[in-house]
Amino acid sequence: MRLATTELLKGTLDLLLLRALILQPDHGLGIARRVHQLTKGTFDVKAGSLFPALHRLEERGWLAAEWGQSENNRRAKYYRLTQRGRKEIENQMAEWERVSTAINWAITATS
Amino acid sequence: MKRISSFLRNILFSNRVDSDLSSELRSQLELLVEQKMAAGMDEKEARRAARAEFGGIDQVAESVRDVRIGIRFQQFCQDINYGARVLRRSPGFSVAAILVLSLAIGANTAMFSVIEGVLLRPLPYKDADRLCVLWKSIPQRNIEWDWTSALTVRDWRDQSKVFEDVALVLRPEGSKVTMPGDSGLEKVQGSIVSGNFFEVLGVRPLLGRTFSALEAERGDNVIVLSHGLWQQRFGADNAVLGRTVRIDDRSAAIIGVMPPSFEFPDKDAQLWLLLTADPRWPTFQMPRFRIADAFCGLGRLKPGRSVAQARAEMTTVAARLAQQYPATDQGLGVRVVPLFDQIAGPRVHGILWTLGAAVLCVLLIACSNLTSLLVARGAARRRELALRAALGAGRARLAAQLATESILLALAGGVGGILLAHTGLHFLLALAPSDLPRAEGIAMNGAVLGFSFGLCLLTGLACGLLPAWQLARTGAQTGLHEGGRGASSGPGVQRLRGVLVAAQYALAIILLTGAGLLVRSFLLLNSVDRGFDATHLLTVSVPLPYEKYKERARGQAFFDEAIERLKGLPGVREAATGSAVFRGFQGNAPNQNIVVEGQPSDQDTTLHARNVVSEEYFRLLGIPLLEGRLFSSQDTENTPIVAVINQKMARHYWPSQRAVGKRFKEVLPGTEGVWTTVIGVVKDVVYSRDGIVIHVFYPSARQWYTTDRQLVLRTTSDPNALTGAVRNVVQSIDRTLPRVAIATVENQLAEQDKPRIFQTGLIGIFAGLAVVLAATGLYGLMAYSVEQRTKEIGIRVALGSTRAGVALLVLKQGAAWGAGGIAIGIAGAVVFGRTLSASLYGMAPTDPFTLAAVTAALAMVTVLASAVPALRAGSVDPTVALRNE
Repeated sequence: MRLATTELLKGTLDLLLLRALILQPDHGLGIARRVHQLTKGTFDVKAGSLFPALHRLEERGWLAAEWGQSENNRRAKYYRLTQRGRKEIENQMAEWERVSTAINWAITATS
Repeated sequence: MKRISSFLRNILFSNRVDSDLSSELRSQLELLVEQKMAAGMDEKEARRAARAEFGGIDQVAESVRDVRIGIRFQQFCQDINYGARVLRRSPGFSVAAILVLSLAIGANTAMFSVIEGVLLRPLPYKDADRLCVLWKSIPQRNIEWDWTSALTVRDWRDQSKVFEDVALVLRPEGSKVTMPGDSGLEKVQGSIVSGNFFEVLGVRPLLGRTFSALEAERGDNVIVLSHGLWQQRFGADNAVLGRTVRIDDRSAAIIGVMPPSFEFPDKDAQLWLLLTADPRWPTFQMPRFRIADAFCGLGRLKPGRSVAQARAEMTTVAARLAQQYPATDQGLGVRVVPLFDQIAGPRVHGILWTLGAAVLCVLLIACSNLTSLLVARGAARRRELALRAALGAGRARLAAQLATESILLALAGGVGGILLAHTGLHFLLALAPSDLPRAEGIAMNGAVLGFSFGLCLLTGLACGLLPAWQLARTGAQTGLHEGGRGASSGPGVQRLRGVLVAAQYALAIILLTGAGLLVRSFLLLNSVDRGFDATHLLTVSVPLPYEKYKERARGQAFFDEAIERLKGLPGVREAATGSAVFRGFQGNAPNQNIVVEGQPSDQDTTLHARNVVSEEYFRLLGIPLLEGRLFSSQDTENTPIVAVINQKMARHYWPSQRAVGKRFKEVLPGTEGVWTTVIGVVKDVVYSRDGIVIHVFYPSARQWYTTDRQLVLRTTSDPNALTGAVRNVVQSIDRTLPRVAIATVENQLAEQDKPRIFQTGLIGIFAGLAVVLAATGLYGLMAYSVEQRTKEIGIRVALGSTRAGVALLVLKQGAAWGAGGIAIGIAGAVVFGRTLSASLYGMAPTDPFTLAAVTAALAMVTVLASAVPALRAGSVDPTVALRNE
């Protein structure tokens, strides 16, 4: 099943983008590809949602952006997690767990 | 922290941020293309696939911009920039819109300045809401307020618990004093008050100090000056303190000067004197003076006490006093009026708020006028907006854009409005009646400017809202499809504008009806037959000093000589004792009762006036005798007291009998009064500008002695030219006399007209503005509609419609909108007319003549406003109209 990002829970996209950068810095398309892999192809982040989200995270100080060289020697903007970004992942993970547990309870209770 | 730096970066380096973003997106797109090519596509194919997957770079960039910190601020700046550019591009529209708004906002600002200064600004006293004025009332006679005695006010203070303290204020007529002026002695309006007066008000002097308890106790001759008197008479000299001035027959020391904002009891008061220093003070305290109508109380409520509590308590006090002093206090009540209401009474409130409502109507018309223009423009601009929408601007963004434009217009209109208001306010104040309270304080201050600014924002929002809503409803996207030059309208827009025009008509008719009612009242009042010729009349108020002239013979000799010598002046035809103008009721004889011999006395609630006259008076004014006789030299102080009465009084008390020979007396509560025999009945005359005939009785000046008298002169030429000569004659008889007040009757009547002219003039101006705006609104709509329907009209003509038929079609449409507005307006006009009823004379607010005239006038305006577009429609050339597509 593939989901459009518009159907993502609000805030989930942020978490996915931050998680995608845990191992190493990457540029926009790389991050989208990584999200695709991490979610086993469930989420396909379009440019129209990806870039606004990345810039928003950067403005909040969770990501830092700088120009670098891509795999095939092309200039690209690379995003890397900041210290505050790593902390934010923990916050959002906790929040996500709380929410998903609650939703699970709700679903099991009604069925 | 990071957010603030991001905000600053986005705002300050927005170009760099933007170019950075687009190079990021471009490089990413290239990367995608390379990936596709690496997967085996040829370049062209890869590029197309990448495009499809990535989307347009511009759209992606726009969506990034939309979430950036500071985006709202940036958009706001852009909107302003863009809006200003759009407005500059259509200068005709912008100038018209700004002009309309300037007029409306200017009129509103000027009017608000007056309302703020008079009705809204707090009084310049400490805790002013705790201040009340205490009056005597006579409920049985419908006398709501009257002056009372010093003893009564003292009893009110001592027997009540709600007041911290109550001060005594002597009525203004009894508080005039003589002072040396530039040209001999002059009468100056003072205010004679008890020692605690300034403490009760809680005001501090500008210079020096106010009365001390010791001075009040001893009755020292000390005075406090008003700011105005200090400036005029004493050259605003700081060394004035401690100087002594001659006041009446005593010398008084100046101890303080009040600030300019201090006007109490009204703006006429020039100085304040201690009541305990007044020679009449021992008399005022005599028990028989309980019947006096000389004082009011000025009370300060204890903290936390309400006016309602004070009223309740004073009712009990009044009942107790009625038991204590049955002869004088029976049937009397106490009226407690908050000081604020006393200063700006219901009449001032009524007039100002009515004018405020009227001027607000003008603003509403201007708003709907502008809205209508904007709706039309919004329709015409659909393509431009659709283009922006296609480029990624959301609906909210476009709506914000439209609102920004109209707010820009409103602000520009506001600037023009404030400039206009600045001039308009001078005009307003020149027109304002001289007794408008607190008029000196009226100015365009911060509160007024704030109001104006708020009004601009509101106006802008209100005008921008409808076009924006319309845009949101129809959706901007449709604009591109609709295509052609018909990028416009549709029946919805037309209907919307029609409703707006109808609303303008409705408001205009409300104002026009108000103006019509007032103008017609004014004309009716002007044509009132006052019963005598008011031109070539001069009145002279002669207040003889009481101490010197308390002897009847001496005063009578003075007036006899004065009248004799005035008669001899060239240009004077006749001179007499008597009044020819009444200011109103309270000044005359409100608390006396007429008791008629042989008739029960306690039911009499009618008011009357007493006009003390000499023999020549009736001949001088030309008041004809209807029955009996006039005074003769045989009526003296030694013969029975007689009086002439007017027809109205005769009919009231002796409806089916001859009044001549009957007896009545005028009694103060608690006094006996003297039986007076009616010797003659004269025709009714109208003495004031309200057009009302009241009961008048005329005692003879030989039998009814007072030191304060009115003289009246009939002149053969312009009475104004005689004032100097008349003054010389009067002063030459007694050099110690203060300057006498001389005025023509016409001028005094004109002065009484000022409140009416103020109200009528302003509502007239507002109504004129309203009609012009409504007419241009309708004209605009019709002209636009004809332009839009050129093709349709062309087809009609091609199919055989006559030109007249086409013109009629357009005319009918205009008439339909106009008629709808007129119908709604008439209903509103009746409601508005009711608020004016206090100012109407001789007609009801539903006066059919006025309503008919106003309807006819607006119907004509409707036809005129639609005529030009209708003619244009009639001259449409079908071949041209159809080829135009």
